This record gives sequence, C-alpha cells and structure tokens, in this order.
Amino acid sequence: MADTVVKIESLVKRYGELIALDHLDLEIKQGEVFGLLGPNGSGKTTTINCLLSLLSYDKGSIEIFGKEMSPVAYDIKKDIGVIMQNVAVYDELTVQENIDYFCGLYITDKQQRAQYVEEAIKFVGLEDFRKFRPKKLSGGLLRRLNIACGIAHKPKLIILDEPTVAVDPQSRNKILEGIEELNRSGATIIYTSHYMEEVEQICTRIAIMDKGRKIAEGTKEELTAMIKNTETIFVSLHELPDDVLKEISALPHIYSTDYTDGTLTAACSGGKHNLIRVLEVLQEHDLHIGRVTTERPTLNDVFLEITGKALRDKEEK
Amino acid sequence: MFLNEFKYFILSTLREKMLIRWLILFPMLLGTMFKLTMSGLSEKEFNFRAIPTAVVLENDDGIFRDVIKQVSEGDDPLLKVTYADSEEAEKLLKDGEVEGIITSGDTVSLTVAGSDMEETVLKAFTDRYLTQEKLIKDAAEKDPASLPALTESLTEELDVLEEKSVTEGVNDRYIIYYYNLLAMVAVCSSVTGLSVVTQNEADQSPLGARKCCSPTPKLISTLAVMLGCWAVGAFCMVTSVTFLAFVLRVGFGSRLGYVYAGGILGSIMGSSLGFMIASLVRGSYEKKNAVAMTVSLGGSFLSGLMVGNIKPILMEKAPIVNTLNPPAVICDCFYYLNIDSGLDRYLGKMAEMLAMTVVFTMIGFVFTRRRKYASL
Repeated sequence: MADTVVKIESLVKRYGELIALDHLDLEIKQGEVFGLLGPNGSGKTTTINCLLSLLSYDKGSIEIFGKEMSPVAYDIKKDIGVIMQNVAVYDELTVQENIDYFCGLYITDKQQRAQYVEEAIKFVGLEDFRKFRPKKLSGGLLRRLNIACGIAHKPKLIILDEPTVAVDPQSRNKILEGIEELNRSGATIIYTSHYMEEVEQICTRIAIMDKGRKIAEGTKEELTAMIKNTETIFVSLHELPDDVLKEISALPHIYSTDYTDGTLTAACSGGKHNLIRVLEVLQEHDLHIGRVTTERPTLNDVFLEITGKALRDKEEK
Repeated sequence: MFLNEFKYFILSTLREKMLIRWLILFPMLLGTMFKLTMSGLSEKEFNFRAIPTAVVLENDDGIFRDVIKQVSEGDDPLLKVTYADSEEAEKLLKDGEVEGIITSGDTVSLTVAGSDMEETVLKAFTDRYLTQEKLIKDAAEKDPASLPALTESLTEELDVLEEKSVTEGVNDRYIIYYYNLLAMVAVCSSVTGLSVVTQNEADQSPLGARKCCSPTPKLISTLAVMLGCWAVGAFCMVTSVTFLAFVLRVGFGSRLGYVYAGGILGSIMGSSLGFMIASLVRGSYEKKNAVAMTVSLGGSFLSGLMVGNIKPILMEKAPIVNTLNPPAVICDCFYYLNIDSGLDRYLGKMAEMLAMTVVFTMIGFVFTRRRKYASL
C-alpha cells in the first residue's frame, strides 16, 4: 500500500534462549504518530534496532517506504531520523557543531545544511546554548540536543526511542509539543515509551507490547474499548451500610463495587447514566454525599487487564 | 560526507584533554626533563676531559715519567698533572684540587677519594699501565719509537668524551633518548586508532549506533576516521619534534627532515596498530584500550625504551621479536638515523613501518566489515 511507511511481518529475534521478539507484526501508515508502549524489557528498543537494521533477526521481514530495509539501504536511511534512547553526541563538539555534524551525514549541500541546522536549533529552543558543549547542558537540554541531531535533516520518518527518560517536566512538554509539530509538518513518527500518559497524549495509534509480543493495537479509544471497564465511579461518603452497597452492586452495568476509607468505588462496563443511578440509590437512603468523580479507563487499565500486571509507569512517576 | 566526518573527528579529537595530555604535553614535559638532566651530564663530561691528578715519583722511573708526560700533553690530554711529594699530593686530594694520586714506587699505585667517573678512569688507566708495564718497558728499550703508540693505546678507550666521528650521523649519544621519546609518542598513537572502531561500530557506543543509522556508508566513515587518526597522530608527532628541535634545541642536525618523516610514519603505524587491536578485541572500549596500552607499553619495554639492555638480549635470544615489534622498528629507524652515515638502513626501517601500517590497516578493515549485530 502506498501510504504504508513501515511494515514488519512476523519478526522474531532471539538472544540465546530468550525470545526478545515473538512473531511481531506492525504496520505504520504515513502521517501517524505510532506509539510502542510497554514496560522495560518488553521489546520496544529491540524492535527499533531491528527496524533500523542495526540488529540481526532470526525471522521475518521489514519494509520501509515500500522497500526492504537493510544496512546498506542508504536511500531509505536518508529519510529516517533517529533519536536513540542513549544520547549520542560528541562531548567535545558544541551544540551547533554536533547538529551540523549529524546533519552532514545526510545533507552534503553546505548552504542547505547551515539553514537546516539553524532551524533545528530554533526548533528545540537551544539558541542560547549553541556554543555550549554537551557536558554543560542539563539532562533536558541534552535530550533536546539529541532530538535536534536526529531531525535536523528533515526526515520523513522519525523514530524516537524513549526520548524523555530522565527529563524534567518542562523539557518533556517541550519535547512532546515538538513531536506533534513535526507530525503536523508531515513526518511520520514512531514513538516508544513506557510512560503511558505521553503515549496517550501524542499517539494516534498505539501498539502495546509485552515479552516481545504485541498484545494489543489500535487508537486509544479502540484499546480502552477492548476491556470490560468503561468507567469507574468514586463517591466520598461518611458511611455506607452493607445493604446499600449490595443495592448498588445489583445495578445494571456495575460489575464491581468496594467501600474503603470513606470512598465508594464502582466499576462499570458499558451502559449510560451509571453515575446518576448510583447517586439516586445513595439519595434514597439519605446518605450524605461528598466528592464525586469518574475516570475513563487508561492504557494502564488495558495493560493490567490483558497481562494481569501494571505498567511500571505509575511506580516510576 | 567524508569531509564532514574527517573534519569533525579531528576537531573533537584535538579537543580531548587526554590526548593533549599524553600525546603532546607529556612528551614536551619528558623532553624538557631530558634536556635539563643531559645538559648537566654534558657539562660534567666537559670538565672530565683532563682529570686533575697528582703524580708522586718515589723513584726515578723514566719510562713512567714519559708515559705520564704523553697522556698529559697534546690537544686532548687525559690527565692534568701536578707533580708533588706524598704529603703535598695528599693535601691536594683532600682539598679537592686533584681527583687522585698516582704514585710511582716499587710499583704504580693509585689513591682516590671517591668513586665518580674521573676516579674510575684513573683506576682503569693505572690498571692498564700495570698490565702493560712490561710490554712498555721492553718497547722503550728495544724500539723507543713505538712508545707513543703504546701510550696512546693506554688511553684510547678511556677517553669516553672523545667521540670518534666514524659516521655522518648526529653523533650525540644522548640524542637516542629523544628518539626513544618520539618512538613512545608514535606507539601511544594507538589509542587514537581505537576510535576508528569505537566511533563506527553500533555495538561499541551510542555514537556508533547512531552513525550506523545514517546514509553515510560505513566504509566512508571508517576511512574518514582512520585518516583523521593518522592526521591527529602526525600532528602530535610534528608538535613534539618541533618542540624538541626548536624550543629545547635538541641537535637533530641536518637530519631534522628525516626525524619528522620517521616520526610521522611511526605515529601512523601506531594509529593503525590501535585500529587493528580495536577491531580484533571484542568488548568494551576499556578492554580495547587496556589491550592497546599493554601492547604499546609492552612493545616499548621490549624495544628498550624503558630498560636499555632488553633489546640486545632479545636480539641474541629471539631476534624475531625485534623484527615484529612495532616500537622496536620505530626505535631502530631513529637509531640508524643517529649512527649511520648513509640512509639505507633508515629507509629499510621506513619501508618496514609502511608495510606494517598497510597490514594493520587491512586487518582492521577486514574485521570491521560487520553490518548487523547480534546484540547491542
């Protein structure tokens, strides 16, 4: 298909006895911000390294821009921008020199390169740091430099492998905004992360990975629709008699209830007006109602329901 | 792409503090220390030319008197003689006016107050006289004309200062230390050669992985970094030689150009050695660096850069080690430049270095041809 940018079929990668990628299939369309979400060790970076032909693999095929990817596919590589998980810059070169060097690996025309370098510096907001060497930059600024080095040559496909690891919130927002801007300007993005919120925020389609396998794929809405939970209701109450709790549990579309530490939690699966029905029951029994909130299911809930474990995201944050 | 790679490799490498420290500042410092130390030695040797000696003649030994006269006269005398009686001689020795007392009585004896070079020479002179005394006396009786030649033979090998110019080499016996220093700079260039692999292989560094994702062919980037290493090595060598020749005024004489040429080729060979080591040794940069340093410094040790008599021992017991040891080849190249009047052996060693450079580089390229990695 013409608009397919990346096509991975039945990719298998083994490290001895360990299966790092287990018959992975992915198809990424032009203009997408495709998220690869999964806990550490789920196979995201291995997927990226195979995609870039850095790693050999045991089985499967990889096509980029409709052509088979290989280490010598220079015509494909020239249109790819890579931002590695580990910052890859020269410590002895300045910010501007580093960006110029990496841009020079793709662009030979000096004038065009100078213009691209300038644009990249402005894009990541490093105008005031152009003469700085990487060691003088904070973690966030260093990540921004890493991104500038990867996108300066204006690639059609940009691969970002955990670009916000160990980055302050301000730089993280700047990076995420930048990715959305790059996408708006026409680039297809592959974004790997184990930060659920980031993926939810910027990705138009998401594949969730665990133990080298793709366990779910779709838009955020499609993914959350895959699981039983559609809504969780939280109501603060001074007291909740057992018979009232039973009554709420018996309401249609409510499949789980709990009252702990003065908060009623009711998990709903489908249906409409679940909150109203819960509140009506509570009012009928003259119970004093405090704070009322509802939560839509997150990707973490999706991961939790499919794998029985949580993404590490919440623990780390 | 090539020029981009070449330019930024040189720029980044020349800004590396470790490189500046070890390949530029360290040789300068060591060269300066050599200069200070050897200036003192030369001065001392100059004073040593005629050794102040008291001669006590307790009997009338005309032949001994003639011998002493001959070694204390002329343009380059061995002794500066003061004739005295025993008492005066001892006072002169005590006052430091003379280095020793040669007494001619029943036999010839020597009294000295220390064990410096001058005293050693006086001891050797008197020992030799005693050994050849009968021969000298016979010659004086039967063929007086042969006496000067015999006397000459007594001092011939003792006068360590009197360099005989048998070649057109520089003929400064301390210059070999500077050549050794330059040889060490050359082999230490192997550290820069490691970069060819560590900066271009995806499994060696994030930078290597990142570069492998670019459309610049690996051959071009490897070649550019390789040439960059050679250029940096050559720059460090030129800096060192220039510092020695023009700041410390080490007397390379009319052969300075050959010193530059030998040094540059030596550093190129050193870089290529590093490239080969990095391509053959699997593992981290630290592991490669450790092997490179071991090979460089171990080779330097075997070539006599640290302990002088190792090389002759190896030449006798295992000559192949000297032939295959890169630091030894560099050392020999400079050594021949120092002692030979012609350039044949120097050029022979240059050719050997060139051949080694080609072999090291080819092995390096063969083992860095991998394009995909089983793990990163």
